[in-house]
Amino acid sequence: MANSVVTNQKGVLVDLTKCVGCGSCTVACKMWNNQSFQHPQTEEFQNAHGVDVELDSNTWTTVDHKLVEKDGKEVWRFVKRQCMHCLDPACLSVCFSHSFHQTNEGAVQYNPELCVGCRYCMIACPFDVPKYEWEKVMPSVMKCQFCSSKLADGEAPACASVCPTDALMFGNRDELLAKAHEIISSDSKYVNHVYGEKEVGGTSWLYISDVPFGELGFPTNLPEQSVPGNIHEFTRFTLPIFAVGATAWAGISMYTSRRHKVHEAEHGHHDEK
Amino acid sequence: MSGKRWSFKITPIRIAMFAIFAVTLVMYLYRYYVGLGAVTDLNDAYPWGAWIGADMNVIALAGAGFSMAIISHIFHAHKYEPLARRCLLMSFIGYVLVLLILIIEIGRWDNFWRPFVSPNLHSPMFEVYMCIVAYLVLQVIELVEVVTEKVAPKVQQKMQSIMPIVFIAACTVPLGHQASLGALYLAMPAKLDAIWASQMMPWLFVFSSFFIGPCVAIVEYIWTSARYKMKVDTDMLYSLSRISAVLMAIYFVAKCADIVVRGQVGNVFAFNMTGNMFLLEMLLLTVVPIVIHLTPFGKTKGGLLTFGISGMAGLVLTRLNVVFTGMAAHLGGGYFPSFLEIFTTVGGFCFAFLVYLYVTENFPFFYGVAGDAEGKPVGESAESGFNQAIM
Ligand code: SF4
Ligand code: SF4
Ligand code: SF4
Repeated sequence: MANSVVTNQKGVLVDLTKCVGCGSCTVACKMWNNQSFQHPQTEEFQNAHGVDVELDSNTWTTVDHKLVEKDGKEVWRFVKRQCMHCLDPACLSVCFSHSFHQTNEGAVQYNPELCVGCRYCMIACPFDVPKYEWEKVMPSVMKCQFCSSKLADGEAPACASVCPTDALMFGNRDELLAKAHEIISSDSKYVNHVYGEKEVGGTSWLYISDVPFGELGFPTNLPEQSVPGNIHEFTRFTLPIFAVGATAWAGISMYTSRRHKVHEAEHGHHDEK
Repeated sequence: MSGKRWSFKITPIRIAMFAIFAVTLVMYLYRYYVGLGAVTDLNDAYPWGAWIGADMNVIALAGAGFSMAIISHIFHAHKYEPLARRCLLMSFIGYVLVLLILIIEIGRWDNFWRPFVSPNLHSPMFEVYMCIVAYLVLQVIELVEVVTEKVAPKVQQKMQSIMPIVFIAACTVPLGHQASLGALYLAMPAKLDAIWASQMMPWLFVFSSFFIGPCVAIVEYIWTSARYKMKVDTDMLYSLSRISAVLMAIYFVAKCADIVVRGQVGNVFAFNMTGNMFLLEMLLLTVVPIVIHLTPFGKTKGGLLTFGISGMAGLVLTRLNVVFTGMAAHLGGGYFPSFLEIFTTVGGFCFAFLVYLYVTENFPFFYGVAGDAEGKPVGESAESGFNQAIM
């Protein structure tokens, strides 16, 4: 893991086969974070669960109702979405003013004080999580903060604590990961994949499902390499570029100007053709 | 260089540009008053739009400043020095334009200084920002040196001791931001279309911003020569275009290798939107200029102009293809620049153009052209071209 700050990595295991789409978690999130049910830009009333619901600056989690085909039948599946709290987060690494940081528990937090509003985090997040307060004159980026104050107190996040079906299991990430593998290997209905185990270097939130993740709107083309890892393949050359560049230019410059002088001395005048 | 020096010729087109820029300033105030969302079409799915696209292109083309400096100051190809000066000026104005656009593009302009005190060294955006700021400072020093040569020779003398370092630094720093602009997109390997999403992107970006320098220089030279009714030194331009053409050929090979290694040949020739746009980009940036250069047409004024314009258009396309075409599949079609976004961008360009005209007409020595306030060249130097006039 890139960040040593995280000493007590928490996580949530989402068992999509258990979710009934009630949306309680979305309501709990709104209440805990004191958010209205209005769309921030259109100001229309909206539920945070249903068909085609989307995250916005006022809605940090949604439960997306998906009609998918399974064994020749149409079935509903309900997918909770929020920030995945990546172990090596893209948002954190791309932000040039360090507006993001990780807490001990692995919550990826945003500090509006430092934000310049370049919106690179929004376009860089592999899960398109950060949203913007477009309607405001002095906007901030908004996203799920993993109820970091609750986590610091050893409590489960608001959303997980209200789930009536135990679809959201809160705990230590490594234990949840072991549990996830145990569940999918003991029950053949599950797809043999723990989403979030390896995607972009791993995420705090993990998902197991009986329907392929691609059909549920999860990005399936993510590399196992984290985004910061990918960028680092370039940034590690930064200082060498400057060092080599400056040295090369100085060297070439001295050489060509010397050659130029010799040339001038021989020919007695400027002759460059 | 006698007579009224600090004046500006007024033509209808210039008045129109002034007007557009004035309206742009009003729009700036309006945007600061109501916020980003109200005046742009930017949204959660499409956080980067026309302004970013414009900035990417201006920076890439402004690479002319550093590439011509390298050619003339580092490789001591002195015959290109007047061109390097003009490119320095254009490039400086270009960077000012970039900042002008950025101050309305960023959501929290009041926090612009935060990266200085809360830096993230791992962010390519940080490198872009720092290098551009550093480069602007270096360019100001270089410009002061050029201007004082005639206006205050004593100051210029004093500056000589630091100039070699400034020149080297000014040729090095842009490597950082030109490459980092490509590195911005290393963060989206799964979002950017695979035709462009390559780890080589930073290097291809910096390389293309380098070889575009001669193209920009050639186009500007021919245009200025037309303005001042000067003879065009096609031999000199032709040898300059050779530098570009050779590097374009290398770029072409590198790009093909990149496509082949990553197994993208099929996507390139899929004859869909992305494939075709890629082919067009390659055609304009490399194939067309190289072919022109290899034929006798490449030695004529028209050929050189086409060479330069095709290269510049191709370069613009490489950047737009990354910002828009390559991201379209992921971002969806939910964005079209608003009237204000387009107008302020045009307004910014008008500002840049007016500054350019003002400076060149009041400081003719930028061009090695002796001219009066009307911008009309005076004396013989006009006929013989600035190449001799500067000496
Ligand atoms: S999901 Fe996106 S916003 Fe959340 S931690 Fe990962 S990169 Fe950051
Ligand atoms: S929008 Fe703010 S938080 Fe996001 S990358 Fe830019 S400065 Fe950082
Ligand atoms: S962890 Fe907290 S902030 Fe995040 S979705 Fe759950 S309730 Fe909302």
